Amino acid sequence: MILPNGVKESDFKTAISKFENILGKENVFTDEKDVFLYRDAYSSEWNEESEPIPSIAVAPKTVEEVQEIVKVANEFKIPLFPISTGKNLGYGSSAPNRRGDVVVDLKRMNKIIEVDDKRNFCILEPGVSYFDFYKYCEDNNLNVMMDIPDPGWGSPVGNALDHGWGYTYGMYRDHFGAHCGMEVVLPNGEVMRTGMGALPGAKTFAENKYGYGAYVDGLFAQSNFGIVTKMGFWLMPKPEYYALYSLTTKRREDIIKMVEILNYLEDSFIIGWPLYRSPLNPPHGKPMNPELESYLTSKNGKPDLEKIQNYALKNKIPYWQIDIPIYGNKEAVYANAKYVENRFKEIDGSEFKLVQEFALPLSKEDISKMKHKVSLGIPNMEIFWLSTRGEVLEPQDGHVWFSPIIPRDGKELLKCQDVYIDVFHELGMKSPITPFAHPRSWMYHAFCFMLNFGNSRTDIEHNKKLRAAYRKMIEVAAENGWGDYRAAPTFQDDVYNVYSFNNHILRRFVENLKDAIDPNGIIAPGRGGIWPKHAREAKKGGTK
Amino acid sequence: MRNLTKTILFLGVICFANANEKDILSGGKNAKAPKTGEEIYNYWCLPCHGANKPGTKALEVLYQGSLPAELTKREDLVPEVVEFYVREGKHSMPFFRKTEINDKDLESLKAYLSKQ
Repeated sequence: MILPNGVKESDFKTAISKFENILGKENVFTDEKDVFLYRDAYSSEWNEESEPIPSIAVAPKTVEEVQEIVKVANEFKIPLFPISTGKNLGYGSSAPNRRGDVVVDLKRMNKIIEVDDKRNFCILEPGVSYFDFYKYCEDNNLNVMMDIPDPGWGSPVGNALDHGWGYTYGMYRDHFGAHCGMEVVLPNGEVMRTGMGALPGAKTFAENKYGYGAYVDGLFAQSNFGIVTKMGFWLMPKPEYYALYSLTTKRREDIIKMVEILNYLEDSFIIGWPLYRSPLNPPHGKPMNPELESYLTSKNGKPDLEKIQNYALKNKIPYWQIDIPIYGNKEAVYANAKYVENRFKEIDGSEFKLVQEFALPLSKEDISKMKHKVSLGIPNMEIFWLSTRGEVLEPQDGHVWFSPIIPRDGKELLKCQDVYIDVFHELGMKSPITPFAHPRSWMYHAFCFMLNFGNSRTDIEHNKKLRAAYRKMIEVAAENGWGDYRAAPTFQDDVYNVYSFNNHILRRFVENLKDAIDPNGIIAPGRGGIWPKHAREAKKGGTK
Repeated sequence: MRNLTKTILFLGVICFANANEKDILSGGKNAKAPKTGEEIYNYWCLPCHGANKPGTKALEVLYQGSLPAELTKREDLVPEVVEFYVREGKHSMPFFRKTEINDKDLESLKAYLSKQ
């Protein structure tokens, strides 16, 4: 049996029997085959000694049970690691940060406490998935939608806590920003409600974020100050009409002007989420055109920008294509589309056209035809196109995301491409980034310029190289002023290390809070790069 | 004295009921859990293994027409194979925990897919 860190076997056995008394034996998972279901299927440390496999997992159903678990954990100083639906794939999944820590699986806490489609909010427990929430709204004919990420089996609570993003209007796309009110079990087992929730009987738990006094909700995101058992969210009313347009331009540099215009349109709420991409990338699963691919390394191993541009012009392939959704009533959608079209006329050679349009409510047939279901809050699993087979027989075993935030600026994006390409050239690896790699535009006032490293469940050497490349990327990105917004447990210390202004004052401040609030260091040690005092001291002594 | 006890009990019930009513967070409806094999398949598997979905497309490439790529069209699936993939995963398909598909649900899923 893997033991929790710093816990004697005899104490752990006593604690397990206490957990079983609280939850029932069937909700305490101690058999190896059950515990192994809490591995991170996409771990870049798979089958290595450091792989973060828990000792056991416990699955409470109520907040009172969570409190009891935390009290037992305090008694024996057993580190706990909460997960919601455990589907944070590419960023850690259902595994703890550190091998041996006990997973608190909140999947059974799946109450939809309230959904209001007049005041446009909901209150949920962590085990509710986006699929569950969508079904509830559709079954009850509610006129609201939740901004959702990929994939649909994720948790609104867990996703928001991990700073996840989505696909509608900017203010809803920021899932942590769209949350309102929390209930948290603190490291001493007490229950706290934040914002308006601190007022007993408050009627605006999920409507007014701030309540009175200091705003503390941020402490519970990507961190380890408590176990969040309920959260409120602001919801978007369903629009009457939705249309998807496509903008194409011919030249690489066009992206500079395109970003400027799109920033204006987005920040003015004229358009929703702009999906940037380049048609020079082949459709999913198809290989890149060999001529084009050869230009990626034809200038002493680096891309020949002129040849790539000429190839695009010669073959009449747009260099960029942006999908642009517009919401509203039909007249407003058309009027906004006309305005958007006019704004882009200043880019020579640009084309703007309607791709598809729908009046709501949608029929099943409409939904099946929708190009971007997520942009109307319809959950699905199509993100898995990413790493399943294309026309090759060597699929990935999963992926690890590298997700730095860069300015929402075309020039900076082009610089970022060059910098990434140089790094991979130095590492002697094929660059996953090309001169037509696109930014991710979920962050409504920034871009994420991410890439995915394919991990392996059979090749440890491959994973070691992946980790080295990832760590190099963190360093180089930081040197350029770009910092990751999210990372898998393997890399969370590395990411936090580069947020180092004034001798790591942010981390030191947070560590002070950690020591005060969780002196036994029992909640998710290491989550978000925050370690309790005894673990920090052990690390200084060369152990972890 | 009996009456006083009754009154205290009555007041106690009223106060307790009020405390619950006032607390908007005390209610709640569990997200509907799938029960039958078909419901479990539709909830957990269909979003990837339905027609024209990523899992189906992946299996199309693998089987090259030698087997149907949609799991519900397979005639050769046996319970052991279904259990293996649910608990082990394969490539980008992760494995499922018992808080997601418990042993009883897995039996229903195995029976459903083996009978197709």
